[in-house]
Amino acid sequence: MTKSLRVPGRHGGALLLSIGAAAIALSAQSRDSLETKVTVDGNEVVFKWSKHHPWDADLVARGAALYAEYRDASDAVGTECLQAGRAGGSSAPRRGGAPGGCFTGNAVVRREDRTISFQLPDILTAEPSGSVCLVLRLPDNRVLPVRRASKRGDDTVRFQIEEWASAAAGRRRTLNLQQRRQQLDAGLTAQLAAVTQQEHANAGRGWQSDATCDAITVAPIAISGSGRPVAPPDEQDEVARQVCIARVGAGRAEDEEVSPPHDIVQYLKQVPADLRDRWLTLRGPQVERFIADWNRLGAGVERYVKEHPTPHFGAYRDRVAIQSLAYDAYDKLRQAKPSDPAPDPKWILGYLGSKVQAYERCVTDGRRQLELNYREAASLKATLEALPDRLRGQEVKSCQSGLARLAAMRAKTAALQEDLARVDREISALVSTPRPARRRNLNEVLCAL
Amino acid sequence: MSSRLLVSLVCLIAAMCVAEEAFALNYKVIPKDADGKRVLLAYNCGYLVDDPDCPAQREAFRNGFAAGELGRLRQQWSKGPFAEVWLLSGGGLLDAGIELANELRDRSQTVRVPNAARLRGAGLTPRRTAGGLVMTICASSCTVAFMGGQFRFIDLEPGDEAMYAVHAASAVAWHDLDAPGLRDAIAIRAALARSDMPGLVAAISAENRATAGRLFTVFQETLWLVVKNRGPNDPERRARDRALTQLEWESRSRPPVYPIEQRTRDMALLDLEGDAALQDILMRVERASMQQALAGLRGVLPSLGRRADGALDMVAAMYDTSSILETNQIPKETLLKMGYLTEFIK
Repeated sequence: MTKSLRVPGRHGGALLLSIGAAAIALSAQSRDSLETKVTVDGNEVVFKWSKHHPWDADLVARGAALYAEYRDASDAVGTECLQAGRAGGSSAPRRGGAPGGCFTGNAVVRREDRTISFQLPDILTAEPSGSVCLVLRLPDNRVLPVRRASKRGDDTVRFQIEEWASAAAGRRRTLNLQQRRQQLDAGLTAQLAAVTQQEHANAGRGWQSDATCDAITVAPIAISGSGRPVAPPDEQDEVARQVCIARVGAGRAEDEEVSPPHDIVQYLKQVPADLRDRWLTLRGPQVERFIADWNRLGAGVERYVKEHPTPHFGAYRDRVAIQSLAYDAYDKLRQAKPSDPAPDPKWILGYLGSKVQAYERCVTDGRRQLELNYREAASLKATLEALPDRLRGQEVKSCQSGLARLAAMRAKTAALQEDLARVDREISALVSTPRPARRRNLNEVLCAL
Repeated sequence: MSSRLLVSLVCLIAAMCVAEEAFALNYKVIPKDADGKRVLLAYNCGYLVDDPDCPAQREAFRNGFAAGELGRLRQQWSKGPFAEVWLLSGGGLLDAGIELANELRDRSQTVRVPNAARLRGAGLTPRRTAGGLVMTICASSCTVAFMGGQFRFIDLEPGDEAMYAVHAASAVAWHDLDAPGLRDAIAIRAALARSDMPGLVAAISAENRATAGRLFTVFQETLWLVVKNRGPNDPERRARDRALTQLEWESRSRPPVYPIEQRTRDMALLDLEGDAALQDILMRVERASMQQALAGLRGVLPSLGRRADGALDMVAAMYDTSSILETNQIPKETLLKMGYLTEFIK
């Protein structure tokens, strides 16, 4: 981006000195025009110089290029090569390219009379926001002065062709507006389709207004339950004992299961008193609870089963199992014949200990499972109860979002339509500017950015 | 180190390494189920009626997740792709369940525990036990494998519900006392329990710490999966793994909780009841040490990443049973709420 250009001091100084020596010999390329003459006729800019020009050798050998410099809408100054249609140069004006990269050879050079002819392009690459200045540069990027420096410090290199600039800028603006119109038209078509789609989506879900959003309802959530009863905390111990007693009632010792406690007293009678007393010190509370539960709840098993098709935990086919080593002891007791010596007290106490321990395990586990199931069932119930409200909240929010989205899309559509109408008006208002038909000198037509 | 302690440790390690003999899972390709989908059924032999793929002598309860299961599952993939993998098993080795969960997750596989109707729709008939139990079961380590599914379904139609039952893992279940070498292992453990109960508690505690971390990881990654599939270098995963390693390291310096009065009672019971008391005592220790491990994890919850609380709840639910003998048949409401199932609520 170029802010402003000045004639480089070194070249400018040398040029002024040389011109002082040869100025009188020329009329067309005078001292005032620094041995140059720039004219325009229609679309053609012709640059001439005298053989006294200090850069004559360079110009004859390598020519010069014509550039346009102007500010665009963003206030940035850009340089644009005007070598349209020339072989070896750019095929179209290009803005922003580095000067000097514009061409690789001359435009049209008539070496014999030191003339280069440039064809002005019909269009600029950007819309200028002010004057379009032209400048001649040598391939090594030196700018070529076309007038003497004045005491006012006027620019010595830039000149302009207002009619051409106006026409080229107008064509650029027309093209820009046409492109903008195409974009707007395509955007509007897509936007209208999107609006229709959203309208259908909203209508399909019954989202017509804020009132319909507020009126949304969600049906209660239901899942098929297990049918297993749950026991509140104050009933859990009793229920656990009842279920375990039901299992015990159906249990068979010969199947490694805890059976009713009838055999406990009978077997204990076969144990020496001192061992029995020691054992009862350890196991007495468990034995008492087991027998007490059996006496209290045994008769209620039938009623419990009738009232509860599914037990509170486990299944009715479940039994209370005893450990394999304890069953091993029981098996020895069972296999003993009446004629055998008295059974080892360890077998009896081992079997009975395992039996009461197994019953206690059943009750303990039952309580824990009842507690877990009660907690999780309550939690699931709360979740299911809260779910409709949560789902309704989400649905209402979606409804409101759908309406808001449609309103925003309609607003965007209206804005696009307005933009399109404005562009159409601007295109209609465009006025074409005639090209300069009269040949005239440009050396003294100053231009400032 | 004293020679007695050295002998004890060697014995302990030997005892822990003894596993009950079990047959592996069976695999059956279902070319078209009732919905026209290609399915891989991984199941225990004995769970289906008239199953030509299973030898008659293999009983249902002696089959399940066994060592080398991962390799056997991988051999099936070339017969796919499968729209779903169906799981029917009473369980087996926990490690095999974890390995299968990771494999199923890596393959973004959908899993299902089918009910009887679905099996019949695929031309299969589930066995019904004399007690009326239909063998449409996924229990124990099967439930861990199930959690590897990207989408997880259990057919829970009332009246024809497949069963999904979790329970505590145990190294002392000893279901089959006639298994080779098992009596020796039990004898070693019993002797060890009588002479060095604190040492045994410490060993069980360490084992359960590691198990808790591995189960937590499986469940957390299951809960992560619906958010996004993560690579091994995912920062959150690496941060979680660092936190778990740090926790494991710190836990080593803390002795397991084993009050003297508990120890006294345990020794008295072993004295009076003999080996018959051993499993209950050791399973209680297993469970207590798991609770301790879970408490440790809860203590560092913020450093474990998102959904850590949900994953810990899943491990805790598994150990809501006092021993491996009990199961927790989680009802549909709990399965849904805790994230075991990926059922969509419309």
